[in-house]
Amino acid sequence: MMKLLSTLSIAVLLVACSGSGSQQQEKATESGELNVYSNRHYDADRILYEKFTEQTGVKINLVKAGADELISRLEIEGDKSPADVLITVDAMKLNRAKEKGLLQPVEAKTNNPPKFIEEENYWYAIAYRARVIAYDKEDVDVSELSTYEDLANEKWAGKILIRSSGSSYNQSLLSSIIHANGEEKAKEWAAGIVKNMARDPKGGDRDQIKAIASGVGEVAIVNTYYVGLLLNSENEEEVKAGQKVGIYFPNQEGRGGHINIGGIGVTKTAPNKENAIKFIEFLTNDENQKFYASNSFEYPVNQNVSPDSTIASWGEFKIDNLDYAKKTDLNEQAVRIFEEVGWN
Amino acid sequence: MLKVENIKKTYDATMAVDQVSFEVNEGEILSLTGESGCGKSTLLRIIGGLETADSGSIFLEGQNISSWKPERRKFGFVFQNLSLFPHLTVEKNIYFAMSKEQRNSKRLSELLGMTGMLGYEKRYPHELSGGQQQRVALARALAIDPHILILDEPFSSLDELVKEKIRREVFDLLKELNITTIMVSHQAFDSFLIADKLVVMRQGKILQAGGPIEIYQNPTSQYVSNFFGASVILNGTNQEEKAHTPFGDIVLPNLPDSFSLCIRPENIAVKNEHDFDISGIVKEKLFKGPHDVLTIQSASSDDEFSLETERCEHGIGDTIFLKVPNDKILVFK
Amino acid sequence: MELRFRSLSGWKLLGAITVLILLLPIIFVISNSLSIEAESWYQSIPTLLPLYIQNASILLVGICSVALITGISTAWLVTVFDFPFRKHFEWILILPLSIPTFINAIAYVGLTDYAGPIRILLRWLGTDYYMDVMDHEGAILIMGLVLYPYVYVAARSAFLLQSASLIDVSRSLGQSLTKTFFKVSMPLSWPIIFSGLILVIMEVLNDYGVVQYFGIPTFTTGIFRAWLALGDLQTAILLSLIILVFIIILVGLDALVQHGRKTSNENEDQVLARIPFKHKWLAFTICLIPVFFGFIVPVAQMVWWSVLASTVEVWLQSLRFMGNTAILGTISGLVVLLFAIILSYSNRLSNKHWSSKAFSKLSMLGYAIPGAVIGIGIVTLIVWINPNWIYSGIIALVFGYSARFFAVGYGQTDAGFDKIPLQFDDAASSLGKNSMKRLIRIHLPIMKPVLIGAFIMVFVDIAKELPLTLILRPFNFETLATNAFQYAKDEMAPKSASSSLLVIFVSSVPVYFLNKILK
Repeated sequence: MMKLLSTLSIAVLLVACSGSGSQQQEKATESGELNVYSNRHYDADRILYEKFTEQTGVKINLVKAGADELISRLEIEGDKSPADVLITVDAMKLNRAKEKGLLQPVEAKTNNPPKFIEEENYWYAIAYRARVIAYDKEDVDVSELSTYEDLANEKWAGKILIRSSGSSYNQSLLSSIIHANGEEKAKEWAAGIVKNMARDPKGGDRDQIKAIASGVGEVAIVNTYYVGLLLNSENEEEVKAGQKVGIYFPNQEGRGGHINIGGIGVTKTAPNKENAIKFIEFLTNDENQKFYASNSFEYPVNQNVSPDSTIASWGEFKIDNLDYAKKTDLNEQAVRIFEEVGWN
Repeated sequence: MLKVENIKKTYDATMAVDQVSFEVNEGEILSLTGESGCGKSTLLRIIGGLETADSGSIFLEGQNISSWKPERRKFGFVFQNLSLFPHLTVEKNIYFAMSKEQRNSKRLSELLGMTGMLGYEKRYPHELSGGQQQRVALARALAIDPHILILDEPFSSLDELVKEKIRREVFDLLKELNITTIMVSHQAFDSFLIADKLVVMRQGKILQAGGPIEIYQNPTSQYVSNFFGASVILNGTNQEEKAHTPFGDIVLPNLPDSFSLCIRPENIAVKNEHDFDISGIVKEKLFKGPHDVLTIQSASSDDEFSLETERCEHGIGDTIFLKVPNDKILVFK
Repeated sequence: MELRFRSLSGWKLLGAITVLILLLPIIFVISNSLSIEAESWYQSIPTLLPLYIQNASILLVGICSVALITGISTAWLVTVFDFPFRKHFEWILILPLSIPTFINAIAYVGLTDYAGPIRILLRWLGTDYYMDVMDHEGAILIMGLVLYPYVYVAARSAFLLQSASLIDVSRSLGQSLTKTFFKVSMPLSWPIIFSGLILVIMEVLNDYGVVQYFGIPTFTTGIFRAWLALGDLQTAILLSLIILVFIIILVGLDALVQHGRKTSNENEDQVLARIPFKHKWLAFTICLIPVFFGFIVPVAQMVWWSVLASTVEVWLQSLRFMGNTAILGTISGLVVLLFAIILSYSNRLSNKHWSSKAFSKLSMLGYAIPGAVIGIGIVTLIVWINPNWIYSGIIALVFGYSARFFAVGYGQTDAGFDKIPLQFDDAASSLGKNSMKRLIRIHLPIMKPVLIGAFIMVFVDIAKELPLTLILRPFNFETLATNAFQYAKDEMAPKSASSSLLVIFVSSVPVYFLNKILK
């Protein structure tokens, strides 16, 4: 009676199975392949992956998803995981993966300065962005700007633009402020920023700069990467908006400006560990870091390479260390503070 | 009371109603009849305002109401089925037709009493039988004090036994209340039993209009004749002022060249070989209670007709002789 | 095999298995969360709940109002009246469904922000005006405008089902069309419209893209904050369960409402005569408004972007992904149909007690949970069965979509079965046809238009789907949605435009044919 239905379902399943790349898994574990879990999805990365395959003959199999989905997936897969490397854009996420026992330390030859390598070699940074202050060139006197902390000052009342606390960039920034000043001070700071906001936190980083151009506020906390994108937009009005703002690196007298790194770690059960190490070395070598420096709006991590695109024009600056990211529970504190002060 | 003038309606390329005019007098029951697709329902909907005619006018007591919306016309509709609101009780269905001020239990009881539905106020339509639903629908249509009552195939969804009873009741009620009524029916005898006036339609046109007896006895076309009950049809030619048919010759005045003769079965009498007009051979004989149904074949050709007669003695293969009074024969070209 | 068992119990078993299979991801995600140690219980959730409830309520009330008003009024117009382009509006009104809510949000922000065409025009005219769509009202309109077709489709089919003579009778009894609408048509159509509304509610409750972008904290914000920021899947699932309970109540209500409904469509001998609308261009305008703001405007914005940013190469790449989207949508749509037919049919064969219907409706819950959360359940499940299913094919994806979008296909299939009189079954079985033959030779052919409609709705949803696709796709696999969203989320909206347009295109083509088939 149900023969037809069952035949039909089996047929559908078969079609589904043969859909794409069958038996990839088996081949992948043999050799000559590298399975990458990444939450970076930039054209520059894609070009470098292709180049890697060209140079080494190692084929890259890529899954792109959110960092936390990937970490959850690694956790669930356990030792059955086909993944060789995990690439994410936040040091804290990498540290969380490390704490969950998903990564293994590896020795890779890079020109990364120590601050861009995890203490125990669990991960290596491949690029970074700075979280800076963008200000309205017309209405803001640069000498008024100094630190992130200063933005909580009353003088900025009704002038500050920033996105919502759901953004991991903001969580990361607040974590670093907790790390530097303690929870009390950090909370006062967050409350001060909320008071000074020109509008409810919303939108992306680009939207904050366009809001400055619209005259809604005067000062925005944004990520350099997005300013770079905006200034190189296909829409000339976006470029104009970008040109209305100046970039200011805060906390230069003190601990330095806050950054977000993109980094790579080898998974604990990596079937192709050798290739994974090769891949880390490839991404951080001089040549490819130069490629990042000139083709992406991120800063290179290789100490022999300096930025070479829009972002270079903003000059060099002192960066804060990534020590805060070692304490992954700071993130929870940060989120709680955001909630307590009503920073949506 | 109501006058319909030159109503015309086309759908895409097909002519649904073609230049139709007629009149209904106060208290009269008029039946629009014809096969499905003859345009009677469309015409009814145009009268009710549910559809707009392409041209023509409708007058209610001399007033042109062609452009009135249905809700203004106060024509009470009863449809073949589905006409009760399934989410409302009997009581609410009827109150639906009244304005807030009119709603009172006295009027409700009056209406339900008239239609024999007292005691069913709180029932839902699906808890009622088909006949009961139709009574409620009638009560509801009456609740608006309609100028005209419009019944669209009101009995055709009922089973035979109930139908007879309800038809009778409805007729009595309509007459008692003296309500002008227009009904549509594709069943000829529904119309006979209830209507004062019949309008027979075909392909959007009126074929014939008149009282039931007039239409039955003097149909002006073979179609109308056939529509109201079985007729014996004999094709014939004019041979020396006699109608020559495969079953024999009949003397008739003023015959065209070729024609059909149409005879009501009740006008045909079985006689003997000394006194007859036509004859044939009994080919088949069916028992139908008080009647026999005979199939009679011509002796000279394959032509045959069937005839319902009183019980008779003839067996299969016997020759049968029939007599037809010639004033009861209709001749159609 | 000649093992004879009564077909009824066989179908019942199949139906129960179907429900279980579809609930598996939810079961796994819950069990998964229980196995995580409760060390990092997210303390502040209780204090935030009121805020989430408040915001979710505002969005729900607002979006449901927009969807109901727009969906019902346009459905009423195109079914009851006649006005210019009415026939075309029948299907055009469904088109906004093909636009993902998040993409619509991006388009509207892009349209009104400093660099958007409206502001450019204003500045060219020598003035400027700051516009902000990123608030509650904006979210309500932006989501309502692309979700109303769920209500529209339901309402239109409800109005069409209704016997035309009910409207005629009501009018002849002295009620105006407006009164008829409120007193007759709406009460009778409400059960069907309500099941369309439930889909809207579920979409709103599991939306993350728009609320996160607009900074409106609601349940999904809480879910993702707990999970993404704190790695606390357990709290995330607890929050999902709150949504789930809410939806279960709604679905139960729905089952009750449907139970109390007495269908009135035994014979549909009368075709509704469309009434010429008095101000015909007014009707035209009313129908044009949702299409204009829910489809034409966002599409125009994306066309402008793609002109700015898309090269031939980008288009070629997007076209390649279109194949993947089409294959996934087709296969998964068929699987959903298969499951839906099994479940509805087994319900039909057993006596339809409302509680058993309610049980079947549990299988619709997958639609109420954020895709990413259900994705975790599916990964757990599949790794448990056979990990290769994820990496070496699209079977995990197909299963994921089926579990998630079952609700969309099932509601319609079930309604379709309900429309077939039970006498057909009796007639067929008296002719010696067993339950399988009856299904194939009677029900399925009669339901063809319904099934095609259900398939297309599922297809459109799959074409738009993101989080499940991201987590369950095999290596090196892109769909139009993943490609579009990744650029959009990285604030490169112009680059996402070509893929977004193709998502809309692949969804619109079937919508057009759907309407042709239904005629």
